[in-house]
Amino acid sequence: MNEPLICLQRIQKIFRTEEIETHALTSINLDIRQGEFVSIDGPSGCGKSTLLSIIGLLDTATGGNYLLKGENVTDFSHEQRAQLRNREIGFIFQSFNLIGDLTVYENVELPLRYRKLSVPERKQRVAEVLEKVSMGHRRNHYPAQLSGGQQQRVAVARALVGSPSLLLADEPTGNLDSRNSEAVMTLLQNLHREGTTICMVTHDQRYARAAGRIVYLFDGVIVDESEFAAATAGESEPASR
Amino acid sequence: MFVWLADTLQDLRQAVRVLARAPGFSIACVLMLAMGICLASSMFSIVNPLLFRPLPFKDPDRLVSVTQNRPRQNLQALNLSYADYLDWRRQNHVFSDMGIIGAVQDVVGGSDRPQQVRGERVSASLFPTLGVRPFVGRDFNAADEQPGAPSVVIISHRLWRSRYGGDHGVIGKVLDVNGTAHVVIGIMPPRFNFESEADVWIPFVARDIDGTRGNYQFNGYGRLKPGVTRRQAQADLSAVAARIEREHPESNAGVGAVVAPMRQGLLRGTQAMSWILLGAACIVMILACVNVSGLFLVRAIGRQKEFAIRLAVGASRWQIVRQLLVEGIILSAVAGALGVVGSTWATRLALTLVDFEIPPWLVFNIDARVLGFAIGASVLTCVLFALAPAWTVAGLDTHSVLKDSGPGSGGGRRHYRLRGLLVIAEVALALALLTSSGMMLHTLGNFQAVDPGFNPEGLMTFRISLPTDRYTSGQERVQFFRMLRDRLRSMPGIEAVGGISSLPLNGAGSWQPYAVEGEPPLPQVQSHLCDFRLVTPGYFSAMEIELIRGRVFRDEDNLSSTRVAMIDESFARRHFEGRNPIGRRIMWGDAGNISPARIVEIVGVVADVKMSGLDMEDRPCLYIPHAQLTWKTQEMGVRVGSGNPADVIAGARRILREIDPTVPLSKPRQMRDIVRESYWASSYILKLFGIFSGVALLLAVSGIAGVMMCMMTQRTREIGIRMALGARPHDVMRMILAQGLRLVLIGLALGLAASFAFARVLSSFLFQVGTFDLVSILGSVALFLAVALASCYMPARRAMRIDPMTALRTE
Repeated sequence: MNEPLICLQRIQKIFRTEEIETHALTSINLDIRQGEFVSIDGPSGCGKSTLLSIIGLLDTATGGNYLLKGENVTDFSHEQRAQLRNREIGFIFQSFNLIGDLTVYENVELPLRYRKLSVPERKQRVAEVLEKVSMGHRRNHYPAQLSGGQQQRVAVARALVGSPSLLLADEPTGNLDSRNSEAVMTLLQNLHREGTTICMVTHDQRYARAAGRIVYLFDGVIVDESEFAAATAGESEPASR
Repeated sequence: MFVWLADTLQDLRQAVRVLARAPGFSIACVLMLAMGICLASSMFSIVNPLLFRPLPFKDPDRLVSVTQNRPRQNLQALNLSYADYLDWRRQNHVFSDMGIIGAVQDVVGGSDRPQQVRGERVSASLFPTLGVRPFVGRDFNAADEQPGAPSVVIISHRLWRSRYGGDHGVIGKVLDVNGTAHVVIGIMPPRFNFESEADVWIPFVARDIDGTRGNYQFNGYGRLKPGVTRRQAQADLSAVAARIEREHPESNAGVGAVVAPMRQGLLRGTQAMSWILLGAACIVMILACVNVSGLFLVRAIGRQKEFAIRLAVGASRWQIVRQLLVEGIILSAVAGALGVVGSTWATRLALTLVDFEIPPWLVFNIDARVLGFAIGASVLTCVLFALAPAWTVAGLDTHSVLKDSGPGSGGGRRHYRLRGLLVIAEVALALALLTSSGMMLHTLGNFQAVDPGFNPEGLMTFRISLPTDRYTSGQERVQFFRMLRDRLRSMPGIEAVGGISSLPLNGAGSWQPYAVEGEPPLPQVQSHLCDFRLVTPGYFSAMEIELIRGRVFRDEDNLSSTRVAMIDESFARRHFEGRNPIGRRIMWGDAGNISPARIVEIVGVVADVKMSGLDMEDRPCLYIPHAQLTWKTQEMGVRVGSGNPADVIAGARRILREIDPTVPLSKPRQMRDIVRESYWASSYILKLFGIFSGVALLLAVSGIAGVMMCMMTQRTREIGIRMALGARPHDVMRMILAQGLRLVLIGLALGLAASFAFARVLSSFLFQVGTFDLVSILGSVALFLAVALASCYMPARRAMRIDPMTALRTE
């Protein structure tokens, strides 16, 4: 079997205040392979978002090792992590997190600007990815002029525009109604079929099953994992291991 | 390169958009920065010619001023005597040339359109030393300085245009100067001014060169030879001075040479004041930056989510700081442009606050250096106020911020602490400025409380200079001034009229060594020195100087009567403590040069008068009647019983025209203005410090109000919880006020420490005020506390009105 895209070894995250130590994550071992669609599930406060932030290099672990494409990135500096994030990781957030002062085009273009791509190349890639999420006609709109579903599609486009190795989605349907949620999940499934590796945190069991694999987290520990034969919501029975 | 340019343009576009969407914030920032830059730039415009701009002469760095001193008698800055100048010029090895200049009042035109102008008596070498030459015609040469040489004159470009209509044929024509025909040999270039706004330059011709020793009447300048330092020049000239001292001990005992940068010689002590004012203006600018920093910080806290998103998609922290800097640059550029425009107006305003006539060669315009300063100030302000939000970015917890569904987190303790620090800095700097203003105000009050020894109110003064080539006998001069005095006295409303060689506090004066008959003689270099003034009868009445003992001068005190003198109380105390000085005799003048005419008998004692400055201890003063030692220049004092003293001048001019139309009346001023001008530097600093500290106080108060409002908003939920748990509105108010006042008190404590440092810098301009001036400190602290309380009150009042239910629903 080929080398995992993500390899977490005994990852720990402890939040320390003056008097209390809170163990958010305890000895997490997790591999995510190229092309996988992994869903992280668990109750509120179990450490799902913290784990996603560590995978996305937004946060650092207080113990253990993190290997991305075989490279140990545990002790990378802010600058190195920013570069790696820009090149390898795309984010989709529950609250969309678009910048209100930028147009749709500028929001999607942002990762490419930080990568210092040429202007024509940026234009081409932004146009392609906006078409992919069916938002090309709204390129000059501001986020406030879009519906929640449209904003999340723009967020997906921004996550995809840099052709990242890994797409991280933190409750991507959490702020959407069911129709828009379905649309976004369909979009993610299509991306997965095209070969995109996705790691998603969700509460919603229907959408969790859209993933090929569900990792259950409880009090900062992985307590269970399920794999499905088919990665379509509601179509397969889980097989625990 | 193209990518960089495109990104920069995009950054600029986005920054403009971001700023335009927050017009209140942008306008507040621009106005505050513009005010700071305007103040600093206008101050820089004013100090630029005083401190930085090269003097308008060829190789100005090689020009020095040369003066004499008598350090053992505490005479640090004397002008230069003609004979000594000639010796220095001949014997030195360090100057490529030297020149001298002395100001006089001249009348040109005689009976044909007489016109009073400023004139200069110069050496033929002056213009070559400065590196200037007439724009038309020729310069003076050595032959022009010889006794008996034809009288020649060089005229100003201004006089050439006004009197001759710019006719080039004026060269070789005759111009009447003080009743004597002078041949016009040259016209100086347009706008040429040196020392004063003179219109005629005439070579100084001395018939008795040695007789000029000890008569310090010229300002001297030298041009250093290439490669010679000022220190070398000082050593060389000191050696020459020592040689002259050996050769002429009767006049030059203890007389040394001083070589100083020309700028220092021309500006005489305004440089320290310039640095102080520039420093104070820069502090106000920094205060404006600190305030804008605070605003930027609040805004940055509100934009944390945006920064976190940018970080999440791969921006480095520097790239975000760069975006903030671009926004800062736009604000700074707008503020800088407004500041420069405003500074042209502010410079004019600041110059109108100067109480004396500004030398015409000081040009306060906006040049490349001022623009450079303004641009530099704008860039610096941009960096300064962008630092705080950059610090926010550096410590951003991306993970937490992105989890939050609101526009951004409240900022947390870290940001609160930084805002608190900014407020403390503002309070400290503003208090230091306020305390300094208080000290200057106290100083001004002390100046105004000083009794000058005469009554300056209702007293008009002016100067009369008799033509140099006429009134050659003492009798003629005495007659002229007596006639003038009597005619002036006959004018309605005039109570008394008198003249003196140099009025008190007008910056001029002379001194003489003296000995009291019966006292053991002192070595010449340690001889007593007294302030020496020639006065006419009526002077003490006109000035309302109190007669303590004996009598005042009368018309009968003339050349055919006993030589008499009056002394002041200091003189009497020094030599006649407990004894009657009336009838005692004094010998004045250098020991080797005592004649019977210089042995005088004391006939009266008058009260001490402040001669050199209200804050200075004067030498004892010796008054000699003008009729026994006549000079051609008298400064007249006219005591007006009723009406406006300034109205006297028209009448005085009319009388003067009737007596002799060629005699000019100059420098008409009220005595109270002369007194006020004597402490103009302290007064000027107070006026500008008043403006600076007012602005600083305003900035500090708005900063405090801003931070309190911000803190109150951040604590809305907490306040809601407290109120839900039973806190009463006044508990909440007390909590908010205490929080604000804690910052203010820390700032005040630091501000007091800074005040001591400021006071030390200001010490040379303070009068009877120590560096720990309790009145100023308590006054400033009380004022600051009052306005700080007022600025905390509004947010505290708003906090009191928070509805707990609404607050608890708001996350």
